[in-house]
This record gives sequence, structure tokens and C-alpha cells, in this order.
Amino acid sequence: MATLPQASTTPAPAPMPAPMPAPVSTGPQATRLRAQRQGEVLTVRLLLSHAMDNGQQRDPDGRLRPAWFIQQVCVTLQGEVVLQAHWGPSVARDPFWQFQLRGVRAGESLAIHWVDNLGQRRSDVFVVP
Amino acid sequence: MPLRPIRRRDGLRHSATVAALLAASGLLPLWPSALRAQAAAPGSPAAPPAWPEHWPGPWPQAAFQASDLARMLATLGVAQPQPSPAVRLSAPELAEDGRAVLLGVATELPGVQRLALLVAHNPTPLAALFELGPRAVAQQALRVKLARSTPVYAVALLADGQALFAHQDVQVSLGGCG
Repeated sequence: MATLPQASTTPAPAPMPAPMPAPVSTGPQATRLRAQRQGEVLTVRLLLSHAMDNGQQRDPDGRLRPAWFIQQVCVTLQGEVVLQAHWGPSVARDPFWQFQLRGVRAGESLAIHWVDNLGQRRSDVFVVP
Repeated sequence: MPLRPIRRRDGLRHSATVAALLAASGLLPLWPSALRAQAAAPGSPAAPPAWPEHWPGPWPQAAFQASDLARMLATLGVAQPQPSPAVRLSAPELAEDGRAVLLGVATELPGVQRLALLVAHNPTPLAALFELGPRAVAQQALRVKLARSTPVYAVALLADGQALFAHQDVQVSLGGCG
């Protein structure tokens, strides 16, 4: 009944109008980056935020979740493309990606852009340490 | 009579709330990370995350639909792949959780233009295709899903049209696609 105490941290139950299968994560979240310099080589470790649904997983109520995954990632340094990736649905949820770049100077701006199969995009800019 | 102004005020308040929520969730073009970057480098010219001019070409759908390594390379216009010790694949012998397995590919060969990672027994075998610019080292690592125990392949595509690969079997305890 109404006597049940409600935890103060629980947000008010929002009305769920969406009849569509809702994506697991909500909207694009910031890409996280760690960069480490070894000589003239910069090792970049990225953690992107995405459900990466391959279209074969089911909701708790048994409905197939449609495929929803990052298709292309573009890495730019000072606005110039240095690396591009095409990904398929086999990439893991919240993708971890590591790569290395040569001759990157401290203070340059490194940008990570991605677009998924539904056309959703995100860009994150970092300053090279 | 007081109904109208109250309604209008409520409407304004709600739209302000919605705008704040949109901004917080990154849907409005007010990227927190961009602001952070600008704050971190006040001397440099402002660097909004401009969408890159030379975005990669269209997503290679045919390559991702191909059912094995040879067919995938055929869609890219590359001839038969050759096994080569110059291409290094790093993968675990045993993966307990197939939902996130780190695969790596690296090579010191000159003239590497593209690198690819394939999981033979996945519904979509091609996991990733990397196009390297001149400043990128021919080394990539990415976490992928493995549906079940499977051979995995690392492929290096050279400027002269050669395709060299390394492969390894990975035992999967808990599948990651289903």
C-alpha cells in the first residue's frame, strides 16, 4: 500500500510512453580517454559508451532488441584524420579500443567522433597530455 | 482569469527544464567534453568538436555481411590471404566470458594500410576494419564478443594489395551473443 517507504535516491517513476523497444543505455555518453607517452609514440586507450546490441539479444519480456551499434569511429588530430575504424555488431558493449599514434605533441587536440547504425553521433575532444 | 498566466509560466518552466535535461544528456550542441577541452587549453584557439571533413567512406556493408575471411577480403578487392608470422595476433587461449574478449593485432611490416579482426563463428565474422593514417602505428586492440569457441583472425592489408594473416583458436566458456 502507500505506506511503503520510498528510497530518496529513486527518481520519481516517469511515465513510459514509448511503445518501441527502449535502448538499454540512455543517449550518448562521454567517451573516456587515457593517453600515455613512450618516446615519440602516444598510446591511447578509449572507453566508448554504447549498448552495441547485435540484434540477437532479447529483452526480459522476450522481444528481440534491434541491432544498435557504432559503425564508424574517426580519430582526428588538430582537425586532421589520423585513424578511422569501421565496426560491426561483434564489438563488445561499451567498447574498449587501444591504438598508438606517432609524433603527437603535447597540447594538440585529439577528437574522437563516432556514428552508429541509427545515425546517432557523438564527438569528444581531448587535449594531448 | 488567473488560469492563463499560470499555465504560460508553467510552460516556460517546463521548457527550461527540458532544455537543461537535453543539455545535460548531450543532445543539445553543448558538449561538456568540448568545454572541458577549451577550459584546459585557454591559450589555444577554441576547439569545438567540428565534425571531420574527411569522414571515412560509407560503412563497408558487404564486408560485414561476408561469411568468412576469403569472402570478406573479396568484397574489399583483395586476393587470397597468406598466413604470415609477421602479423601478430593477441588473443586469450581461454575466454571465460565471451561478451568482452580483448583481441589485438600488430605488425612491423611497412606499408600497412588496413588492419582487420575477424571472429570466424560469430553471426557477423568481421568485427572491425581499421584504416591507418600515416601517423598511426600498425597496432590495434579492441574488445569483441565471441558467440562460442572459435578461430579468430588478424589481417594486415598492405599497400601492394597483399593480405597477410595470423589466426588462433579461442575456447569460450560463456558465449557472448545470445
